[in-house]
Amino acid sequence: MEVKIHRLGRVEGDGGIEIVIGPAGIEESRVYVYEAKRYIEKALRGRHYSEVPDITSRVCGLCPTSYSVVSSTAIEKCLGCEPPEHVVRLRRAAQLCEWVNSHAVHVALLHAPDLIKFGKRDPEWARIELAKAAYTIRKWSKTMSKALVGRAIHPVNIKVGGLWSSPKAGLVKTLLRSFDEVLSTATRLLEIVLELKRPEWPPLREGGSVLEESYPLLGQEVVLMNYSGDALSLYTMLEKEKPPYSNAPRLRHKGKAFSLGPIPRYMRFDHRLRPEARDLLKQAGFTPRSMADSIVIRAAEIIHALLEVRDTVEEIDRYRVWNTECPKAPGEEKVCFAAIEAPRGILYHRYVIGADGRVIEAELLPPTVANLAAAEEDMNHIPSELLRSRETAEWASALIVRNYDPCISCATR
Amino acid sequence: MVRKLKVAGLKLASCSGCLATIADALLPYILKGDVELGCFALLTDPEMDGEYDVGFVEGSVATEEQEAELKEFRKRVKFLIAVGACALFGGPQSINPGIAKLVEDVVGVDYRIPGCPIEEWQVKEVINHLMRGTRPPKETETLCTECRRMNVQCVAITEGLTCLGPAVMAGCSALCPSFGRGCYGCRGPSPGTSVKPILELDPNALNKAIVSQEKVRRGWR
Repeated sequence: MEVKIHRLGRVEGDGGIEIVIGPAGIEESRVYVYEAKRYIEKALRGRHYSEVPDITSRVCGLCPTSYSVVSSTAIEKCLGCEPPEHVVRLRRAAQLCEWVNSHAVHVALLHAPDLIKFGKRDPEWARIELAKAAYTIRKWSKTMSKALVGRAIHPVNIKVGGLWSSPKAGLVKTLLRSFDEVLSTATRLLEIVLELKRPEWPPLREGGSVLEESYPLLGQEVVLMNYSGDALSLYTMLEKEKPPYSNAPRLRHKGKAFSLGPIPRYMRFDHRLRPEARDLLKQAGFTPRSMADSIVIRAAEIIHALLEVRDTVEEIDRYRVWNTECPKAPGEEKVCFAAIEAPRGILYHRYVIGADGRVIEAELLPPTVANLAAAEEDMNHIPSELLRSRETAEWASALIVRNYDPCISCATR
Repeated sequence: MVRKLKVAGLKLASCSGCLATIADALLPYILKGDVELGCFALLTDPEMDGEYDVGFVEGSVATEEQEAELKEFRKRVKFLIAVGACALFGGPQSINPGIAKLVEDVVGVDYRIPGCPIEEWQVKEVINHLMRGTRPPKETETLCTECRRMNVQCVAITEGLTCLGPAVMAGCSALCPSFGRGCYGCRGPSPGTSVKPILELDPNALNKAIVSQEKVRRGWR
């Protein structure tokens, strides 16, 4: 039997799924990507590095801050002009606001509908409650992004060298007044998600994340399976291959598919989550058992990120200087790279910048290029009883893809 | 008389940022029961399955499939709205020549919402008008007007920065100037204005624009 979802709903971008089921189970599984290529990496060539963060953010409407921040960080590191710590922290806070608003929409509106039917709650009640929670959380975090970096989608205050201007302190103060309400909404969202009945397949897949002192977010070091070291060496080693049926490539490590995103972040670094988020998971007796549990970790990461954002923005009054600069040209050719935890996992950027400051080469590798390969392999773990009917096979294969919150526009670029 | 609207959303070559903004703007209407979603990329099943009162289309046309899809969407939608820099001006993919067509190169549209991304207030304004059965107004203001109204200091005069404000559509609450940087034109040209004076000041100004340079030169048709 062939089961085909021509256009998959509740994911970002244009893709589909096909699985071929034989007597012994899954014979083939493919995640199609129809999304049109936009050649953003090519468009960057010849442009001055200062334009890069504004162009790369356009790759993705759900994780644009990740693009702007990692572009800026990569170029700053190789120019040797790191902005002051409070500026770096503010950009990290903007990045965490993006985790909050991206996770909120995925948890409540894209992923949960697959699981609602099977939980304890009345599905209609859960659906409305989830939508309201997502709305409250997203509104707050998007407005916070607006105060810090101009807007949540395609921020304008992020540049190579730091920020253009100070955050809007008045708006930040107003938002801090409603922080407790947003935090309790996020807590309720986590509680609802914990009550959903989550399947015990596919098993947890090994993967990687950024490596730094805190819960992973941004840097040049990464960890993946047995590898631990700089992102440039790892990404030079990874195998990139584009299947004929997909406009997006697949990324593998020594022939193996791996996962990026909330599951590998949590599996290695759960002890670095904010205690408030950790305690809620502990009280519920949560231990991740399958990739579908990513929904719980996303909900917990919302709480973690909200608390981190609050702590950063409470201190902005202490600082006066926000607009810092980098030299316009490095004087010699440089290779620049950095890795950021986009909501869906590691987003890796590498640039070759010429002596005059213009981009010679750009490579942007989003997490979905790894996760699509992982999702295809995860299909092998759909229990055989679900493969007997078309309806359950469709449900299971779509859930497997949505576990990764794929961002198909990113993967295609 | 308030009408309930069935709304659809189509994504072409783009980033989903405008559709995400539309989703945020529509959520209160959906919870109230004033808007019902039909096929809507990102949120629901994307297969077209009926007719719609309002259709939003995001993105530029980069493949033959997308062209056919857009034509099909046009047939099913009473009031078609092209949203964002990609649909209206080509977007960042138009930096590489020959990759993308504009929505209006393929079908006629009933309304345009500029922005990269568009703003929630623009979506709400259109939906409110259509619910009442009135037509939304055409925006013609430039960013300079908006800076004056919002009391944002002119970065071209005080800082000597290149700013596309005199030629670019308003509606972003003077975002870039309010963060101390010049406008780089993500909302596209305002009807009836010319970029010539800016180019005389700074011949490289347009290189910074995210929208198609050729389209900016031609202006809004």
